[in-house]
Amino acid sequence: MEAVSRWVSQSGVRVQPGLPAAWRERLEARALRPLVGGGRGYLLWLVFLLAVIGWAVHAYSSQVEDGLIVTGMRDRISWGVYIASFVFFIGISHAGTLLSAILRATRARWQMSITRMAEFITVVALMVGALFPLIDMGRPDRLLNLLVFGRWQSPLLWDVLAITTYLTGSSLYLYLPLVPDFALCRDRLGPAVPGWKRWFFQAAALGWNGSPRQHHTLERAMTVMMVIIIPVAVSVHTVVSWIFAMTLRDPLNSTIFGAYFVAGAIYSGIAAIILLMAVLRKLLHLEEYITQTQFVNLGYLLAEFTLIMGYMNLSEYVTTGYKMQEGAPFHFQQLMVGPFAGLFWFYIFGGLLVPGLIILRPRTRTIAGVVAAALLVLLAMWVERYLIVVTGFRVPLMPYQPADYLPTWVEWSILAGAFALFALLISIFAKLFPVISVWEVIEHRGPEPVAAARSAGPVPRRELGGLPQRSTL
Amino acid sequence: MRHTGMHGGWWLKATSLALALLALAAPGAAFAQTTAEPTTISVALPATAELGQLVTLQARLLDGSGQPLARAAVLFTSPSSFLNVSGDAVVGRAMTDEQGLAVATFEVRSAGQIAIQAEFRGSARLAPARGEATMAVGEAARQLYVQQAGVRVPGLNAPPAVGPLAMMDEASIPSPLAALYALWPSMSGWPIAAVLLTIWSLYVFVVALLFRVARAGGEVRAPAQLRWSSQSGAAAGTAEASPGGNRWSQEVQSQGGGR
Repeated sequence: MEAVSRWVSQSGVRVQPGLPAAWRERLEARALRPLVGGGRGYLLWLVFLLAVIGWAVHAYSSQVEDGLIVTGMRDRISWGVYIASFVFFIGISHAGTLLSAILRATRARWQMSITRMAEFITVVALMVGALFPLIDMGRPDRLLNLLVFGRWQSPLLWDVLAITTYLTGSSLYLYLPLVPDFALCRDRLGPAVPGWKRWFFQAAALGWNGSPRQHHTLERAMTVMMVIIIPVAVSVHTVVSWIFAMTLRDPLNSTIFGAYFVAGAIYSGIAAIILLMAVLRKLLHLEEYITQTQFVNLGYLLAEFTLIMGYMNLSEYVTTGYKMQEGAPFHFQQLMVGPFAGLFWFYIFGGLLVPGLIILRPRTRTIAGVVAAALLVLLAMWVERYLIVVTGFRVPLMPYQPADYLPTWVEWSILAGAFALFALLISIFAKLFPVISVWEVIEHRGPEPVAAARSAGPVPRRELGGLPQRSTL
Repeated sequence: MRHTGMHGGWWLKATSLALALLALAAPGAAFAQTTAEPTTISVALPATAELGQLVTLQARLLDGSGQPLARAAVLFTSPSSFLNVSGDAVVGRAMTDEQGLAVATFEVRSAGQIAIQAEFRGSARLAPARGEATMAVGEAARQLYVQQAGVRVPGLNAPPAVGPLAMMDEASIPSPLAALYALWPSMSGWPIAAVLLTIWSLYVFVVALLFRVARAGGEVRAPAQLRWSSQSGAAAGTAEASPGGNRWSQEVQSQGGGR
């Protein structure tokens, strides 16, 4: 508390003495500006996303009307794009809260400007991902059966409980550090925003004025959530892996699936954060706050996870390949030289090897390089989930001809709709909340180091809120 | 050449004789096989059973003179089909005892008239035998598989076991405990429930902390020393007011909020 008393509270934020006022002003301006209205480009973007979602709704309505026969799924391969996408979205949801919590817990200051985006991703990806099991059921009314006939012994029920718990926790964890920023919006935006937004900021700020007592209580709540959310996040993807590993299917019969899925989730989640960072940085002109430091540090994390994922794949394939029990020869054949070989080797080289090399080579360890690596990782991780689901179900359980699965236009349309929904929710959230945790950057991070800030390039004068442009370093 | 011819004739005669003997011996050998000691096998089943019931299958193997055959392998099969594949599914295996009796158990998994066959595959001395019996299986009004999935940990989601598990049959449980033991499996979800309850309780605690934040805001709002005034743009009582705050707000307004 002594440290708190030394600081000066401004606009509900504790400001360390000596922190350049112009820098702080610029940060607030940049962070709050997107909340004020939306340009024509923004509206066109929303219309485009709504059109894609509308098409997906049309595809889904045909599925509800005619049944799952409109998909490529049949009795022998009964899971496909929907479940692969479910695992993918739940996976990328992990990076958000998990990464944010781990980095907060380890007091890594460099991540202060990206925690909000990470938490956005978590909540949005969970919202989208949770729709897929419902879509996969064919008849949504059967969801009630889960409540009426649900059994504790079923990993499906564990999954529903885990995801609900994680979504609630992540939403809380997103909201807590937003409180001081809502107060900032309430105090700084004023009549610049419509009445309903003013009311929203007023209500969501919970009367925040930055008093030591409020700070202490909020930090306590954040610490509690930070501690809970890490095991909850790990448990969610472990449970998702158990949906596969607890079925009697040879390729899925693995004891490392839990750890493998958690690692895969963090891996794809980091890639998602990098991509979102790159997009929002460009669109919202956040170059001064999201610098090469954040990209490279996340790139290092990504590179570490290429090694972890590579190790897990090696461990899995060597142990099952050495024994070659029933089902394994067929699985290895279809995966490595058979119909899925192209996708499998893209995953190995494009998803693990190339991204790792891009980041480990100093010449390519740039913002563009890290973004390219993240894009590859994200694509490859969707492919990896598709391979797990489809090839896992393709190994015959009895002596029958192996089935084939090709997703239909309905499945592709719904997948496109899901990505559009993801983008839509992010776009809407970016207009409701500051995408940078302003108060945390002010209190804990301060201006970026010289080299990183220079990489951000010059700041347009019109965004400096009328202040004379001067060095803040 | 003559000498050679004599020798050639002898060799030809010997070969012909050997072939003739072989031709005679072959049917003999075949005959010898068919004359292996005959055996008979009879199957005993309960006349009726319920779906999911554990049924005892019995087969008695006798030799041609009606004497029991011991230490012979008997296979119990039942005709079944799945998708487009049909055949005899093995439902049990057993060795005959001194009375020629082979006993196996089988959980009935389909309703209707069920045929069970017992098969002795024969040996060098004994001929194979096959017997069949049927039983009527009624559909009991209950789930076939109940509480079988999952890991059952005694004391956690299964009744606590004291001593060898084989001793823990229902009859040996004292009556006051019987009700608790009967209830125990239905509590199998409590470890999950306990974890969930803990997490959600912490969520509730966090929400309560948020209420405390809101209450603290109400208490301090009156002096208004630490809060900006968006109307005036001045920070009342604040040591280091931000000079650009109000100007920036006006700037945003004048720009119309475009990106």
